[in-house]
Amino acid sequence: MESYRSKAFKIMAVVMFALIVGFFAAAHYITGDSKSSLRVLTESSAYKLDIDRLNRQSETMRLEPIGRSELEASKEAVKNGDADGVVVIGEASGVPTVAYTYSQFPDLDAIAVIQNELKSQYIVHVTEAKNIAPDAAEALLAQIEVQEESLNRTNAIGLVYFFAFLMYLFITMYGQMVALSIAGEKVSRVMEIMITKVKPTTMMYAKVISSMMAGLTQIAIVAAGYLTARAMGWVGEDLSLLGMSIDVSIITVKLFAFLVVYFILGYSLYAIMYAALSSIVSRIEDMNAVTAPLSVLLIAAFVVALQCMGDPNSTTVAVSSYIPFFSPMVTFSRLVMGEAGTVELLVTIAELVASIGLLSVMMNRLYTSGVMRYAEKTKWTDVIKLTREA
Amino acid sequence: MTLQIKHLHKEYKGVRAVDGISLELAKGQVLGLLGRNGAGKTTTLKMLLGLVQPTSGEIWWEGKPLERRAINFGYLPEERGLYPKIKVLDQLRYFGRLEGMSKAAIESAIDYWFDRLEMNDYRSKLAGELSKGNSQKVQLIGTLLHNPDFIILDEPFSGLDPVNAEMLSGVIEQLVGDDKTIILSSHRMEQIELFCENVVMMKKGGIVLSGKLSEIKRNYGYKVVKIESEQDLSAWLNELRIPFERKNGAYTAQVASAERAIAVISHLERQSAAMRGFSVHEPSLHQIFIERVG
Repeated sequence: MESYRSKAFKIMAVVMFALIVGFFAAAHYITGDSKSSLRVLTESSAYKLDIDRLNRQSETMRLEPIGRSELEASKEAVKNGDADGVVVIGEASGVPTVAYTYSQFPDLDAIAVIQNELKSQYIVHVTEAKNIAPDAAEALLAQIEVQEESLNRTNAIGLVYFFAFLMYLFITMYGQMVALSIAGEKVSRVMEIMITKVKPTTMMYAKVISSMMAGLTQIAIVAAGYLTARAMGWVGEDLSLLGMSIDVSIITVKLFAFLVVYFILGYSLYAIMYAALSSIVSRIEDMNAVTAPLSVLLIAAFVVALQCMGDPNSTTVAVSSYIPFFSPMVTFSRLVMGEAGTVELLVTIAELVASIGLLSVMMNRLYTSGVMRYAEKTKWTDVIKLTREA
Repeated sequence: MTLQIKHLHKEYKGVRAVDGISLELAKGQVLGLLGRNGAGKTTTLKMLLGLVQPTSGEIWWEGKPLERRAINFGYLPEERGLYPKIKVLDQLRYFGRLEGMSKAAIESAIDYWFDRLEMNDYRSKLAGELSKGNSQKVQLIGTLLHNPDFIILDEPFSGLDPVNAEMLSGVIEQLVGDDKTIILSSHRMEQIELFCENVVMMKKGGIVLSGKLSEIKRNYGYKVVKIESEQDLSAWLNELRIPFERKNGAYTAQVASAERAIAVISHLERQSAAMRGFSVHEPSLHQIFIERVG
């Protein structure tokens, strides 16, 4: 109950719901001017862009002609963010030149359009000058077509990032909540009263389970935010998160169910370790040092899960999927990318359950020994001693 | 016999915190556990409660190895501890639920103890906002809420002002009257003498003295003679070759027996010493404590 009543939980619940709903609302309502704004100075008499036509044809760029006197002011505008780039079209020995000035990142698509346009004009000039037959010129202009066929096309990259981050955030947050609660009870000496009323391991699992319920509630709030946005008609097809595409059609009940399963297993694995390790500290400030290895494991798992976005079948990702400490994030990410089969899911879940069982035996001993231990400093050798002692 | 501790040892990294102690406590008795700081009192109590595993030894309750969960006991630890950010009332309700009490029983017990210890103004306060004395009273309520049969009070008077100490004495008196089995660990000798029939005195992990308090004092080895006089009696007392000290217009001397004490008084009377008054009594627990564990 302490988890649910805490200010942090309530604030987090509101923020998560608002973020999810807000994201979809913003994607729906803010169409804005996402076109690349380029100012074009034409200094060539032979080569000119048909700016009106290009503006009509392009959905991603808007060209604006400028005069020589406006060049410096335009560059200043690029610096200030009022324009996305300045293109100066010139000519050298009959060949068109393009000088492109931009702020930080070039709009390669826009430049490609301009290049193609000028190239077409150059070819026309050359064929005219060299008296090349029109059909020969047309053959030279033929584009090499690439026919694409995707067998497992997915726009899940943004979702992988989102879910991996969600998993990492919740496991870390709620695991540390357990650790802090136990360390706090030791520091405030409430532990001495509680231990006489409740078995140590009962207390440990009660804390683990109660924090897990709080975490599941937060996941439910995320789901509620998504369903609310969907009900409002704000969930569109061309969504993106930090430049990564999101295909919400991938979010099925099955996927959500596996999210819950992997969260429960991943959280349980880490939470019992957080609980047991924090039981041996006598001061709150020692807690971070003792639980640091868990943080490192979680970060490593998150990094590997992100690798999944680029290549879900790389050796690192595929192998990590079967390592229990990495499975919750990595296997789930592979599932989102459509690469995790039934066997992999079943094996990783079984591995997680077995690992939790094995770890529980060790962590129970550590917790029972550690919970009444008060010492000036806590070292990692103490962990090993206490595990043996019980 | 209700509680039997047999040859209990506890070692920490080669240091013997508790060194082979044995004691017995019958139902309804009150045992005083005394010793200097670090003598092993709290470690002994924690082993009794199962909070610390003994290195060796046995603890029996009613003829069977102690099964902590089978005993209805209350424990007031030496270190005060409550959840600082939870209200007093909520914590006590929580403790009551952990002891298996019904909601009605919890509310009734809370009402009783809050009235008894004058804590009604603090029902809705966060535990972290209470003074040391008040948090101690809340903790005492938590210890007694479920009407335990066996009560362990570890330094219950520490940090209490005289008014609250008096209140706590009244509670202990009530518990004694209710025939509770109590172990009281305290440095306040006057409280131990008031409530405890039996005492155990510990020093460096071992027991240096144990038994019925009245017998210990009666058989201790000397009597104390107190003579009140403004006159300087030093010369006459020195003639008798007895150790004495003068304080606040009174002389206190240790003598081997009550007969010797009478002989001292008679000697002073023969010298026409101006005595306002005199008394002969057994050594105080305080004196015994200083001599045996000091």
